Amino acid sequence: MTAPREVRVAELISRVVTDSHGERLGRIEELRAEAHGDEWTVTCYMVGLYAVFERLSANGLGRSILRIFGRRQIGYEIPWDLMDLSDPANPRTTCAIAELKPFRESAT
Amino acid sequence: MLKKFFQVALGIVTSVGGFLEIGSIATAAQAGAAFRFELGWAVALGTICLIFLVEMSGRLAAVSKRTIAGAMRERFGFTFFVVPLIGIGIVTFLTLASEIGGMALALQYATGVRFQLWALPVAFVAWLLLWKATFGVIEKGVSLLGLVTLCFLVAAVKQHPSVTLIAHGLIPSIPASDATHYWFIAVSILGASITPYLFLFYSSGAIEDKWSVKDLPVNRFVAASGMTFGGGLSLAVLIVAGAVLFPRGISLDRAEQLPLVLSLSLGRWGVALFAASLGIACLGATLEIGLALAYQLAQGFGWRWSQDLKGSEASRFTMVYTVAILLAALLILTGIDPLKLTVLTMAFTAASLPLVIVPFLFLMNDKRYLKEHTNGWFSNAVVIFSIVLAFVLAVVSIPLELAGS
Amino acid sequence: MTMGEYSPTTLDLVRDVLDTQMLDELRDPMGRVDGLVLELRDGAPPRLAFIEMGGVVLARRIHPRLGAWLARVRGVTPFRIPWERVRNVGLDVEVDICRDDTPAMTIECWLRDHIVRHIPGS
Repeated sequence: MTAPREVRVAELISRVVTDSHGERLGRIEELRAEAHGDEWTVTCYMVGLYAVFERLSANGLGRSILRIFGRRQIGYEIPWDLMDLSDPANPRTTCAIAELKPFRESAT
Repeated sequence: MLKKFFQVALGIVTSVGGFLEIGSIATAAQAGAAFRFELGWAVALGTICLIFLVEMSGRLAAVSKRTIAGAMRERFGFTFFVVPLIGIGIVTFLTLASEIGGMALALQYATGVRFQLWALPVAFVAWLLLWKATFGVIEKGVSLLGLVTLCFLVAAVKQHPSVTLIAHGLIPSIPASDATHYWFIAVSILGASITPYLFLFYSSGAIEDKWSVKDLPVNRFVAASGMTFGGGLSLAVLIVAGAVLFPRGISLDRAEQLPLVLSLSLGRWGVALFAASLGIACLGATLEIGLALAYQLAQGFGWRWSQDLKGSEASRFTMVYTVAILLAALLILTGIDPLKLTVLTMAFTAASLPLVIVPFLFLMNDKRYLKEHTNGWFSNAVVIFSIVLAFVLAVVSIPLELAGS
Repeated sequence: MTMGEYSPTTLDLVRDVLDTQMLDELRDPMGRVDGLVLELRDGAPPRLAFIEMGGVVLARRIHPRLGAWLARVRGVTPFRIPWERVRNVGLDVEVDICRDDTPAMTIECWLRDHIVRHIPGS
């Protein structure tokens, strides 16, 4: 029996994710996990500028600063089955960018 | 109700002990000697900024139930956290060495024996207090003894200084001459007032005392009154130096001259009072910094860090302050001028402030930590303004001052 | 892991787990979540496998070479806690572990036995 393949969360964060055509999506900023029975599994990856905003948008100061720089607030929520981690240093999605669900800054 | 009163009173007295130490004494005295009352604004600005930072530190602890160090690691991750940890650690260590130098100088003034010979003995006394005494005893003892520093206030009043001139000095102005030195001292005053270990330590105390949202008014009061008291004493040092040394053209660049601040104003008892004030203030600061360094590390790595630490955490904790105090004493033993070390360290502190305060401000505006108690725009503005000013001045004036001396 | 009644059903791993304070079975602080290991599986979502603790783990986060060097020097494998031992994730991560096994305690014991014990009055 082969040893299980492992990856460290700390090594995944800030890796640049590309789509199936090599187009850059952004960096992995967060991983969301849920309980399924006895185990916890990763359900999706938050990638790109959205995710950075996620961390900063809870933050009034962060939002004002980002508004000054006028960034377009686009990021992606990538479900686990669309993420290919066979090379953890270069995560890729198994589909094209157009098929992914983008996120915009929420009004919280 | 009475218990609350004593708690508040103790908080104020402790704040005084934490505020006035060789950094604030030396920089305020040099400012007064060189520029009379014109740098009063630097003391005022530094104090105001510190009041805001201390209040924030207490508020963060009370609402999020985390210390600053703990919250910083959690929010920004270890890789980022290492940067302020090391940067502030270095600056705090140099401050520790300055305080030990201050105690050694105090004994030199009192006995005539060279300060280097006192470095290890005073370090040992401080270490022994941390090793043996409980936190409560240390806090109360040093705070009460620290009231001797009120002699600066007495000396300032005795001089009958011109209130108009003092008020004028509280408004920032461009110096008529010697601009490099002026701005360098201004930066040092800011660094001496806005000391990171002070508000980091304060958040630890707030967690230890299990503060919650209902303690927020008390927090505001203690922060404001304690720091104002301390800042007032620094201003008193500046006023005495300005009234007594400036007219005589004594510029206080040698450590031996420091006691003149009180000997020329209080006569016979002046030297003794100065030595006592300096020695006790620096002892208090040494103890506080030793503990603050140990807390920082403990909170950053998630160890138990409660104030009266015995038992299974004690060894790591003990080693941190032991090593720090020992290395700091060795630095003083090398004969480095404690006065120059102090003033330069204070300037470097000012330059390093953005490292800890920028992440701190992000935390203070984060609803997940502060819920509905995030910073108002005014708090943000005051702090941002102060540290930008401190940083810019430091970057400009430190090299110039070093080149000129 | 069987979490209590008021436990979360979703977790943001970076925000809520990584670098969070850990409490042992007696709810005493025992360090922080220095690392988190996922098990990758074909055709199934990645599984939360272990919490990692220790200086080597932290060194590797700063730079992989630093971690590798420290691992060689220390000669130990990173300390791991199976995710099944996690009892709750709230303000802190609570685990069913005795703190004596953690790497930090190893350092603590070494210091106590080799240095602190020799100080009079300890």
